Amino acid sequence: MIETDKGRRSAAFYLRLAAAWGLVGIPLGWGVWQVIQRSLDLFR
Amino acid sequence: MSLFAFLDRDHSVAAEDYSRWLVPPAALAIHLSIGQAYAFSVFNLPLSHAIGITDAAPNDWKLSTIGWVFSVAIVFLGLSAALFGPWLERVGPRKAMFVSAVCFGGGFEVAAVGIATHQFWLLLLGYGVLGGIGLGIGYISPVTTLIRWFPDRPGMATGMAIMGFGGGAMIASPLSTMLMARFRTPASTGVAATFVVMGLLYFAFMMFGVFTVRVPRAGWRPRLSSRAEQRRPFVTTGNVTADRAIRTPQFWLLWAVLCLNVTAGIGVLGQASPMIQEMFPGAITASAAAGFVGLLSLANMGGRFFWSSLSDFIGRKAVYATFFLLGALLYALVPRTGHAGNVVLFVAGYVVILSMYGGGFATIPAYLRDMFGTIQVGAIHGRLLTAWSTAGVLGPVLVNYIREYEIGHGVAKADAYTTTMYIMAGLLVVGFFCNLFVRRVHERHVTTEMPASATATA
Repeated sequence: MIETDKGRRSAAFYLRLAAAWGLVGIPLGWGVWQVIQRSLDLFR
Repeated sequence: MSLFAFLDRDHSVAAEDYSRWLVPPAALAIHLSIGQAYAFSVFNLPLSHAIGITDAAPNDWKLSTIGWVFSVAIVFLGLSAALFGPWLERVGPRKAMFVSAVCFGGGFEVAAVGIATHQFWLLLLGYGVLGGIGLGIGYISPVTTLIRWFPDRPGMATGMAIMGFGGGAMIASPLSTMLMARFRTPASTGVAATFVVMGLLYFAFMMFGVFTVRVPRAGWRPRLSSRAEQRRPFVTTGNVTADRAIRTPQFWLLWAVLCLNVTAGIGVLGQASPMIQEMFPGAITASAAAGFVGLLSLANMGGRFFWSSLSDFIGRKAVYATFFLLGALLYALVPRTGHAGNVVLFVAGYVVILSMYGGGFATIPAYLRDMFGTIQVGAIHGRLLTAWSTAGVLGPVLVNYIREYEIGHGVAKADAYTTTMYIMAGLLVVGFFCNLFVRRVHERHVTTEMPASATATA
C-alpha cells in the first residue's frame, strides 16, 4: 500500500521508492544468500 | 543553507508527495550498517596476528585483549542509547543519523590508524568508544520517526528496521573476509585497509538514510481503513515523557520482559556451534554446525519482521505471552530431541526459539508506544536497552558456568546443556508473569506539556 494523499503519483515517485528499496534490499539479499549457502552444509 | 541547517528537524519535514514507505529503507540503511558489530569476531584472529602475520608474535595482541573492543562497543551502545535519547527527540532523526554515521564510520578510521600503528588504545577508542556511540544513537534514531509514520503498523515498521540490525552481520561477515583477502600482503593481514574501506562504505550507506529520512508534517495522518482504525488493542491515548516513564512499574516490567527474553536466546546463540556438536557427537561436523549457526541467524532476522508484524494484529501482550509460553515449552522439550538423536526436530526447535529472540527485540518499541505514547518513545526505548546489556552478560554466563559446573561434576557433555535449558525455561516462565502484570499506565504519569519535537510534527 502506498500513500495516495494526492491520488495518482508520477513515475519518478515510484522510481525513487524502487531505488531506495533496491539499495538496501540488494546487499541484504546478498548477505542472506551467503548464509543460506552456508546453512546447506547442515543438511548435506 | 548550511549543512548543519539541512540536518535540523525543521528542514526534514516531509513534502506533500513524500511516501512514508521511504522511511523504512532509510532506517534499514542505518541498522544494516551498525549491525556489522555482530560480525566483529571475523577480525579477532587477523588482529591477533597483526605483527606476526601468519602466527602470533610475542608483541601481538592476545585474543582476550581484542575481546575488549567488542565489549566496550556494546557498553557504549547501551550508554549512548540511554543518554542521547532525549537529545535525539529534540533534534530529530536526520541529525541523529548523521552523528551516528560520523561516529560509526569515523570510528572505523580511528581504529584503522590504531591497527596500522599497533596502538591498542586507538583501536579501543575508535571502534569501541566512537563506534559504540554510533551504534547506540543509530539503533534508536529511526524508532520514533517510524512509529509516527506508521501509527497503524508500528510493529511492522520498527520490526523492519530492527531486522536490519540482525541482517547487518550477514553482509559484514563475508564482506570483511573478502576485503581482508583483497588487501592481504606478505607484510600485512589487510585488516587496517579493510577498516578504512568499511568506514567509508558504511558512512556513505548511512548518509543515504540521512538524506532519505523525513518527519511527518504537522497534522499528517495516514488514510486508514475502518478495520485498521479498530485494530488498536491496549493502546494509550496519552503521552509519557522518558523521565516519567522510568518511574512507572510498566517500564520495569517491560525491562524485565526484554531482559529475560534476551537472556534465554543470547546464551544459546553464543554456544550454538559447540552445543549441536556435543549433543550429536559424530553426526554433526564443524561445517554442519556452522550451517546451524547460519540458520539461527536467519531465524533471528526473520523473527524480527514476522513477530513484530504479527503484534500489529494480535497485540504486543499476546505476542510476548507466546514467546514465553512456547519458548519455555521448547526449552524443556528440545534436550529430549537431542537425546532421541532427532537432528531435524532439534534444529526446528531452536529455529523457533531464535525467531522469538529476534521478535522480542523488534516488538518492544511498539509495546513502548502502546504504553507511553509517541512523544519520547525513542528515548524510552534507549533507556530500556540497558536490559539488553544486562542480558548480554547474564545469558552467556548462565550457559557457560552451568555447563562447566555440570561437566566438572561428571555429567556427560551431551547432557550438560539439559539443566541450562530447564533454567532458561524457568526464566521464560518468570517473563510470562512480568508480561501478564503489564497494565495501562496510570493517568497521573501522562504529560499535558508537549515537547517541541512533538509539536513541530504530527
